[in-house]
Amino acid sequence: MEQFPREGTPRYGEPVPEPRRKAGLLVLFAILILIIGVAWGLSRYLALFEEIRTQEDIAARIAENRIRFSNAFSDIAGVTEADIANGFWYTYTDAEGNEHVLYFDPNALAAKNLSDAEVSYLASLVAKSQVTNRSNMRVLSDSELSSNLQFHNLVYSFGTGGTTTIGLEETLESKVRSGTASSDDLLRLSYLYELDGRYTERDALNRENCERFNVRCASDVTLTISGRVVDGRGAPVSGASVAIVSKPEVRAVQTNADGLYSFKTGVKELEKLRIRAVKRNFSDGFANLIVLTSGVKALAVGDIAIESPINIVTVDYAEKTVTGAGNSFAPDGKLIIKTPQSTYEIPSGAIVGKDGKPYTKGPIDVYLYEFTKGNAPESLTNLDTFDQVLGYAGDLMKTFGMPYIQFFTEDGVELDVLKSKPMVLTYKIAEMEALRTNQDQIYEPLTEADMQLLVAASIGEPYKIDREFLINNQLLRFPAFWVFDRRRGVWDNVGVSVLDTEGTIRSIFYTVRDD
Amino acid sequence: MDTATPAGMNMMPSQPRSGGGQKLIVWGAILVALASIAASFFIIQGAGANADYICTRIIETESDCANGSWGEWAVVSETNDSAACAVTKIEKRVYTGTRTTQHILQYENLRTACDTGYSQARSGSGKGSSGFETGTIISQSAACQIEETRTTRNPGTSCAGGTGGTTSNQEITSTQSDITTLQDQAVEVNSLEQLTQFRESMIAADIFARPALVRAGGTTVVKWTGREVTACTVTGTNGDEWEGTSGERTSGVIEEATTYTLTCTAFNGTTVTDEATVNIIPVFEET
Repeated sequence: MEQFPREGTPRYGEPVPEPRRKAGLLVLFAILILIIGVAWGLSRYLALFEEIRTQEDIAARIAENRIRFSNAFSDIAGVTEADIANGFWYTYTDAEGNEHVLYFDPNALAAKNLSDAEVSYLASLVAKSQVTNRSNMRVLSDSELSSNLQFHNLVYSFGTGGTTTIGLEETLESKVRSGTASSDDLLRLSYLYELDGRYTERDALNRENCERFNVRCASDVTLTISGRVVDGRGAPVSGASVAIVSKPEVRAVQTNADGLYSFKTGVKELEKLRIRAVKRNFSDGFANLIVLTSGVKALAVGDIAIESPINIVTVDYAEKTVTGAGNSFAPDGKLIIKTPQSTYEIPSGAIVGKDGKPYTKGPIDVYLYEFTKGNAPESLTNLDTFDQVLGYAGDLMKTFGMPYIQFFTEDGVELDVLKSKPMVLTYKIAEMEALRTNQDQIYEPLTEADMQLLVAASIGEPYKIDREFLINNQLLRFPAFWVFDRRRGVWDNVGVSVLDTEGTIRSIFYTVRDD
Repeated sequence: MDTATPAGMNMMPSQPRSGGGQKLIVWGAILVALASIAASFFIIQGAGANADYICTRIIETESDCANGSWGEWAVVSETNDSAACAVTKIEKRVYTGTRTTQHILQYENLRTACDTGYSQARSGSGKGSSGFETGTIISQSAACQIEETRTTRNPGTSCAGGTGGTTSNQEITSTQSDITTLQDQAVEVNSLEQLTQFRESMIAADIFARPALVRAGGTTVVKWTGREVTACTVTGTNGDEWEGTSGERTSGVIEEATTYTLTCTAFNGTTVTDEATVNIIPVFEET
């Protein structure tokens, strides 16, 4: 006979036994976890479906664009439907007679959603080109390139292969010194010197290569180089003097009324040309060209943009006078020139002519520029840089402020300040806020603690903060300081002292590196 | 009401029957929740952002090797197919130019490996520390080369049974000596024979449809041509049918994937065929 109530069953008025309450809590807890888990999973699933829908839209758009390509290319001789569907190569010959090998990638172009005008332009380009089936073309891998082309690519790998141009140069120089350099070694070292703007040393190596190996004696091809000089608004600049700084034997030319210029000069395979445009009342502008083969007959250079100065002062060393408020001569003969962001201290005798001797024949015009992120001309920023760690560091210039200075005689002859007797520049970095907020999303934000560290590190040892310091201390969020050599056409990294946490720095400054 | 415990029975405090079941519910619920969370991570795969390591990546595209020039054609191989009386020549040439590349140098500092497509960067000079450069994108001109191959097939000059074009007594002689070696098989060798052989090597049929991708209910244009043929027919799986050794026709309505088959009768009585397929634009395409 069953006993009732069963043993263990709570009677009315008695408290619920502990184990049952705990079990209930556990169940509630488990249900809560389940709800949270399901909610989480559901939200992720919904996000996935949204992504799938987006992908479907993209796929539909790609399909539509493929039809547009098919229609646009259908009447072009040599282009089959299979080519349009799978991709094809086409060789386009430009007005100068140069051939460019281009690839029609249907997937990539279909995803770009080109306008009707763009598709039409593309079709017209293909119609004028020689089309080659994809199966007949093959991109050669780096290891299949000739050894000199592989060397070229190694130089432009910026140390990612573990080899810097500093290391390459040391190895090659050692071979040259010991007399064991091959013709290729001489060629490669000459190319590195050319990259660094050491044109005299480059020529010496080419002469040695010619004498010993009968190589690099003469140009491989006559090349026509053409381009245009414009101002900051894009308007052509006439009367600008354009020269190939890497080939000083080539006579400079002047731009015409449309800002156009043209050279005809012999070049060798594996040669980098640096072209400079200069006109009084404008900053300098540079452009680079690389010639890899002897088959190129003509090359067009991108526009060289030159900007107007913010201020011009006139210095008369004989009279010890200088125009402009705030500018003066110090008792020791040092010239002090100021702009809103910069103070230049120029030692007596530092401003020299082409012969390297101090210019004393009359007044000197000083052109001052203060470029910022918004107005720094690409013709100055998109140029090669060199530092103490990599050697050649590429065109990685992203300016956070660029003070720039030029010196001219009254007649417009350029004068310079050499690195061996430099100015001292005190400059307040114009774009500190951009650094603090990491506006360019390149590095992390620059912090107050970073600035305090830099200020402390600068005490006692001047100009200590260079690229090597910033790399070693993982402080690349603070911009390295570069000085532009107007004769070589490259930027060199120099060390600075950081004077305060507001971004005031001090450094040597020059216009030509003579070491 | 009195209760009495039967003597001799070892009465344990009665456990609620649902106790074990509750534990099961709890564990089951926990497992389901964990499974849901885990499943959501597997489904939504992140890009695997390479946080925290020094890695570099070079962005290049299979295109635009520009500002260069083509080298000369160089013969790679040349084969003589005497049976078909044709010479096949394979040639190659190389274009050398420059390609713009972008190097992303990322400084990251805690992980131990780079993602696919990134490679570890290091300071080669030995002067710096192990890591450098953050998120710098640089564009530069790398040397690039593209190789083009072309195959040409021309009538041969050393064919079985003699030479092409005009014959000479000497050639006939060599031909007859070949016949002798073929156990006296009497073969009449003249220019017509060689021409026939050449024509046979030229027999071809080509058909294509443009566009090859249409919406359901759309149409396409079918073009075909035959070479060294006397008659051709085109039949489509949608019912289209045309005749002629060459032609261009607008198709009928295409509701599903349709294949057009070109069947030609060559001058020598042999049959040669070709096909072209028109597909329907899918609603959703797996990529």
